Amino acid sequence: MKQEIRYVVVLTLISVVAAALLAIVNQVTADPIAQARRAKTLNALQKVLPPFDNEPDQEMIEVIYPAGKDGKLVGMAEIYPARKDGKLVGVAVKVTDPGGYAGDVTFMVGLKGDPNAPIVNGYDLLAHKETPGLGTKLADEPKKPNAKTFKTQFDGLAFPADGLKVVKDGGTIDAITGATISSRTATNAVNKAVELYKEKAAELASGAAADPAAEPAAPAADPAAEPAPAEEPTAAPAADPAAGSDDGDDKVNEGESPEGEQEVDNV
Amino acid sequence: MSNQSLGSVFTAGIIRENPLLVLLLGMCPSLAVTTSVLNGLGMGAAVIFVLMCSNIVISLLRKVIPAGVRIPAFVVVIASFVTIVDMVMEGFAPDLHAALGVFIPLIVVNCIILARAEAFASKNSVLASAIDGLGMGLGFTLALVLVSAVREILGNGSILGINILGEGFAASPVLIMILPPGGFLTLGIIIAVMTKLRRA
Amino acid sequence: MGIAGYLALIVWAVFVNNFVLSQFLGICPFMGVSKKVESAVGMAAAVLFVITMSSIITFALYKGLLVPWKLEYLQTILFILVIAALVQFVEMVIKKVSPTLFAALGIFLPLITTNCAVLGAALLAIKKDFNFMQTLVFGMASAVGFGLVLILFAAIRERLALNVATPKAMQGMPIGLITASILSLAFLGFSGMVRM
Repeated sequence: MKQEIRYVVVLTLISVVAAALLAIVNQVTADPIAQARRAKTLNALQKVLPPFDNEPDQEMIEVIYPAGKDGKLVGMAEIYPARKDGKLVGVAVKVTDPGGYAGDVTFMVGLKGDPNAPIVNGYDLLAHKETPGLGTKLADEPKKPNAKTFKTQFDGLAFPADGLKVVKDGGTIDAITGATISSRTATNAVNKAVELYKEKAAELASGAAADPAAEPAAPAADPAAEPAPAEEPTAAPAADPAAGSDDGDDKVNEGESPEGEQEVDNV
Repeated sequence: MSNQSLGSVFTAGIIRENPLLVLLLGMCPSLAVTTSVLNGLGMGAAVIFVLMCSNIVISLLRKVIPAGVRIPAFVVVIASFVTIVDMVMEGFAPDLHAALGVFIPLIVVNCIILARAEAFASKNSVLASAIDGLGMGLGFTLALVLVSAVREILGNGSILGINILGEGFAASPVLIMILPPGGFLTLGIIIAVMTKLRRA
Repeated sequence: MGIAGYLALIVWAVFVNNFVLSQFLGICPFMGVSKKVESAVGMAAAVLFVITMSSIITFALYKGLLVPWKLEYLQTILFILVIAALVQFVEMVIKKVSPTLFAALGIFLPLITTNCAVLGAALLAIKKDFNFMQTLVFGMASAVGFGLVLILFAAIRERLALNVATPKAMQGMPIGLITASILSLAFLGFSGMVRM
């Protein structure tokens, strides 16, 4: 009996000391870890957005949408608005396409300009499981200043009205040789990003001055309502876009939002 | 055992009893993380830290831990240091942390560490145990670097990310080397070469 | 996840994401035990049991204890202790039920504790944020994948030991690893079959 008690005591003591030590280290490293995680996102944002002076990840909007062949799956995207002097200069959309060769491929797509005819500012590949040497070419950066890789096709690309497609599907994007499926995830992701940009354009533009009153009325999933308020971010003076477009949003969207919200909820 | 000179304790881990290539311990991480020399070095550094720290602590406590519960006790000590490495890496070397992934917590079941705790640290002085940990850890790191150098050069045309075989090779390298089959192949051949050299 | 989803998960865990040949988990026992088909079968069964039980227990402990108390960083210690206790228990049971199997497995039974596959399965299930059912299916299917490869390998090695005049330096581990590399190459063909 004495031996068993000694076993339990020793083991418990060691465990308690260990747990205490770990709690301390956990406290000490909590901040650096949070910073490191944030840095990864900020890094991607820097790569795909035009110069900005706000903190896009503090204004991030999360969107849930139906995905997959019959809309039964749920896709989740994050939209990061970039602003300079309070004006929306572009958005980065973190979107995951489930159609990769070996699973999900996550991109950070940069967009700027008018949501109805945006300019693609390139993308950053965030996560994937694609085949090395084939699908991984999605991330290849040009080795010399004017060299071309798959992703340079998306830098400063004017988004065509009917979406981006690879040449095989009748579009203009040259796919990676031997990695058509991986290439398609890029075009799908950009298409989705543009779609979400259009959807949330009003919310993004008005969110600038951190005006909470604008948010509840704004979630418009109805693209038909967009054209009027969407023009405003580019047309309105930089001074106070929030005040200018708010009323417009409320009036146009109040009628739409219940339906709009339901569309998203039904997923 | 305790009469061995510290020097020979140190060198044992590097060549004569190299944990990976001679004792054949710790193969799981060796195959998984050796896709690039940088990852191999990172894993090696983490293992050195855990090996030394746990060897020291276990040696310090060797007269206190009863034989019946020594394995669970060792495991708690080792797991604590592994968790520390995991947290520190995530905070200060996030890219390496992401690259090594689940193999960082898996250091706790790396047979090398438990084997050294059982075979050496629980029976020797703190200083000798620390040196044994350092030697074994360095030997393991050297082996990892060897395997990952072969895999990275052939599979990516580079070492530490620096291209050394030219553009042409880098455009279409021997990809299989950085995929799982390449890992098995490289390790198998290196062990065979080591065995031959040791017999010679 | 519907039935189709679970079937896909099983195929993925057994073939596409095979623990030994794609994930490099469980290599040590893989090399050591797989010299005879009988001991390979015994080992596969023991691992299947341990992984199944540990998946359940670690999942419950993680979601029920660590997460609510924000002690996620203790998962490595907790999981490995659970596994060590489980293996002790399995050892006692096998010793009573089948002393021959116990003798055949020898040192490799307690070594299941340090089998990366067991801890790996628990950690990966948490990382992928599976729910309980998915964790269970993932654990069992991965163990089946491990066992499958273990038995395949044992059969190959039995033949190798009989027929081939392997060079001395290649005998044992090296030829085993090269055989594994060819098997791994074959399993590479499964990649892309199921997306997870």
